[in-house]
Amino acid sequence: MRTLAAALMVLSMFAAPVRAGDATGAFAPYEDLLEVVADLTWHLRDDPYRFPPPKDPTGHDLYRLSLERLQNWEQRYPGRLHDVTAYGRAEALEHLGEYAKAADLYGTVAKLASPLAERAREGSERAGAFADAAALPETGTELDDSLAALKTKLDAWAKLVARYGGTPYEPAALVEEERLEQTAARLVVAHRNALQEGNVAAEQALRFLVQKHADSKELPAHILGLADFYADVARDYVAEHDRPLAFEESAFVERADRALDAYRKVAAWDGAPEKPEAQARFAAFDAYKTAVLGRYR
Amino acid sequence: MRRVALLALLALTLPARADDILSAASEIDPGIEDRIRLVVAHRVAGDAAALAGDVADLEARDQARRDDGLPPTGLTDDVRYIAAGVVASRDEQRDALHDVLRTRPDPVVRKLAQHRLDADDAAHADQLLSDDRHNRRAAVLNDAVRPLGVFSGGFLLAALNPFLIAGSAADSVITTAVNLWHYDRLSTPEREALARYETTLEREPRTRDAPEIARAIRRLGTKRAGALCDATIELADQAIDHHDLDHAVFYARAADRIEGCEDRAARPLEKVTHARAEHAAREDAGRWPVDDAPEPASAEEARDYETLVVATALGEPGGIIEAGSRFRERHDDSAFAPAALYAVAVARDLAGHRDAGREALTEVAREKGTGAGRHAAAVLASADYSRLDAILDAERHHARDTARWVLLGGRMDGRTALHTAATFGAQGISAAQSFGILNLIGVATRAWQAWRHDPVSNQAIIDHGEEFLAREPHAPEVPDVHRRLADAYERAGLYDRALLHLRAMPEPDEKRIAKVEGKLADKLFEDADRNGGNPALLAGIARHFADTGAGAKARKRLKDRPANGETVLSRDVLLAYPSLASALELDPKLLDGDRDNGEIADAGVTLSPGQLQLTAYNVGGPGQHIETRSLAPEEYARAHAAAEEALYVRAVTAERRDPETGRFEKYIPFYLQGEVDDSGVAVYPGVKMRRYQPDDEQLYQ
Repeated sequence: MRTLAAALMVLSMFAAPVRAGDATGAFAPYEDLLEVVADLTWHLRDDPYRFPPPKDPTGHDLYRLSLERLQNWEQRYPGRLHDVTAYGRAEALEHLGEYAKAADLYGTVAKLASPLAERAREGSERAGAFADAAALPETGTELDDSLAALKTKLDAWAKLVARYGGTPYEPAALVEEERLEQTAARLVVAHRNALQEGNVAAEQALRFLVQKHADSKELPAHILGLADFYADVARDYVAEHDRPLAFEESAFVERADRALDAYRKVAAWDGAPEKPEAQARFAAFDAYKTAVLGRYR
Repeated sequence: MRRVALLALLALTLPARADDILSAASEIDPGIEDRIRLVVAHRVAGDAAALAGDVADLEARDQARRDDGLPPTGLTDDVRYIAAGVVASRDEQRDALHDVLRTRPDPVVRKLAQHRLDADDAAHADQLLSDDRHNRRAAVLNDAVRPLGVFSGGFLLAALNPFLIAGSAADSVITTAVNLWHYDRLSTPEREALARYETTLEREPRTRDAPEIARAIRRLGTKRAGALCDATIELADQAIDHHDLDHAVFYARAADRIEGCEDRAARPLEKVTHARAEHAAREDAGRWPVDDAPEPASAEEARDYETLVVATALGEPGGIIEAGSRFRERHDDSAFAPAALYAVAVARDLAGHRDAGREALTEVAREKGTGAGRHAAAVLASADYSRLDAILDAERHHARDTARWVLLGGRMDGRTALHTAATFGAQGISAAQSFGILNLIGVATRAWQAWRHDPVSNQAIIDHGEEFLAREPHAPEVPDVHRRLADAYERAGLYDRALLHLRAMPEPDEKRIAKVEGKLADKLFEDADRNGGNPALLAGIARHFADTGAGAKARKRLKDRPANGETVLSRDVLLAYPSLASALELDPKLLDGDRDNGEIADAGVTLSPGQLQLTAYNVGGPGQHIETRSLAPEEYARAHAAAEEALYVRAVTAERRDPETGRFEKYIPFYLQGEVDDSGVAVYPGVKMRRYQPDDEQLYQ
């Protein structure tokens, strides 16, 4: 008897805690909904400016996936817990940069009698402000018009960066600001032949991107952009000095090596998604340099 | 009749509609939806204390249900997981996740929590470094043991004659010495660990592991900078060795710009600067005429030579040949005679008489003491002049390298040579027989491998062949070059290019084309299979390679694939997710295992817009049949949403074990391996390595 009691005591010591387990029967739909909301919760304060977007265990973009799963839940149980699903969808859309749609959904929840209504009002106001900035035009008929439009839009985003500085929403505004500055730099690079001192302006624009956004996840891409510009300048030199006696080897090598140095910087950047691309571009441009030198010797 | 009965059964026993389930849940537990709203509101506010209250409330509900003999709600683990997500720091989050796992959550929450713990950059980096240390030690030990072949017959005989393993022992010692020399070399996992540690500190500079992570970053960072310096200097040295001064300058300067590498870069920089100066001086000297130029012996010779020079400058082949021939007839002993013949060779080539031109050039090349002779020899040796010869030469190299690989193996270096010599020396002539047997096995194995996959590169043949076709597309040798290129491409496994050249021949060999098409189709099918059955590629194989085996396989694979817009839910999935039955409005009897009242077959249910197809076993007899039900748009939308959710949950919770790894294999740290490879027969034990298989390995190489 004593042995049995001892054995039971030992067993009770090793017994597993109560299993939380799957939701059963009628509670299963709530479990599905909570799982989607739970995954979103983990990434509401993520910094999309410095770090890449989150992935779920199957490798999908978590915000897109959450949006689809919440839509599916609404299809399955129309009208149920609408405030929760609408709020979750608004969060996912806001993180995907769909500010106008997010503002609408937040607005819908704000009108409901729900504990989420107050937060939804804040969300609607914030997403609305982001949507207004996002809706401003980025292009014009001429280069100057486009640059002016970009300047206006950048000012609008700069105000939002200042207004939401230090909150989880600042990085989203920084992402938009960075994207617009990149667009402006590309525009200058594309039209550099039409601009006075175009190459200088283009290089300054690209270097400005690299310096200003040194903390951004896009930094390797910006350096790659600068390298592409240097490569184009080297190619332009060859095109402009096509005849053998006009071609100066040292002038070409100086331009080509600037591009190769910049490509190599990203090609040696462990963990950067742009690394394989930079390695390939380095190899391609190195082959071009060798071919050009071979042609003129 | 049976079909009608089954349909009637389906119609009569439809379960409750999906949205009624939630009404039922609200009736069972009236405050449940309000609690969920509060959970979501608290998580939006980031209120960890309020979420702890939500967890307590759900635990109380579960306890009350258990007291009533009912199963718990099953929602507590989900809310615990949400609560873990709102705590402020990485450390607290990890503690909270461990707490979630300790409560034995459902498979989805367990997977999500585990994924989050595994995805933590610092924890991942720790694991990478631990595995890397293990693998380095295991590699040293395994490489030391492998040459001894401790379970091979030869090793057992060594108990009688220790000299039998002398060669293996030498190999083992040398291998171990080499491995120890390279032991601390920067590895790919270390590169990844460094990047992950840096990301962790960027994300969470105040984590309690920060000091330890900072130390690891310093250590690995120094090692990485050293490795980058080494690699750059090695590239510079290699370029110098190959007289590639452009690359040598680039890499030497790049090394000079790496922090801490300046001193080491000084030597290659100096070498390359010196080499460039020498090269420039040589080039400069080559542009000036010789100091003691030959003079014509007579006025007549000077006149004839001038005529030849003028004809050469005009570039008319007829004029050059006439002036050159006349000069050679009249001034056979002249110092200008080789140059005159060289001019004739050039003229013959210009006139399209390539063979005659080559003959003249060969004759000039014999005059090695003259400038024209040396020049002619250089022209003859250049691939530009003898393109067909260059192809033949590359083919000879390829055949020789293949034969060497088959006879001697791919790892014939100083160490293996020493191994063979030591063993042979220890055993004397009596070893010849056993060597013969082992070598024969090795040679046979390598010959088989060489027949299956060419072990030697065909690139030189391909480069010379393609250049020939590009430069001389109308030469009479073109069909021969196409044939040689087709062979080289086929050996290299580039079947599409091989086909292109086979079809470009004047009389294409249809039998061979069919054979190569079969190989190409097999390779494409392998690619399509590897990418999860890429439908576009499969359709392409089925259409363009219809007569091949791969074409038939592709057709079958396409037939078995669900059509666009179809969602297939197998019986397994339906059983694993009971809520699907209600979403699809299926009678529960169809999944109760009793075939007498109707049972869904393994193929399960296929959903497509407006329709549901159900494969069921025939009641009371063998075989299966398909039932089709039409679905209203809202019914289809609901069913499709439920199906997608179930398939997603299945994907998340699927076990991701390597299919080649046994279930209990991780508990056995050793392996025993037998090999019949290009070195012969070997049986040896070893310590298992830990696999490094990241999805993005190329980002760290």
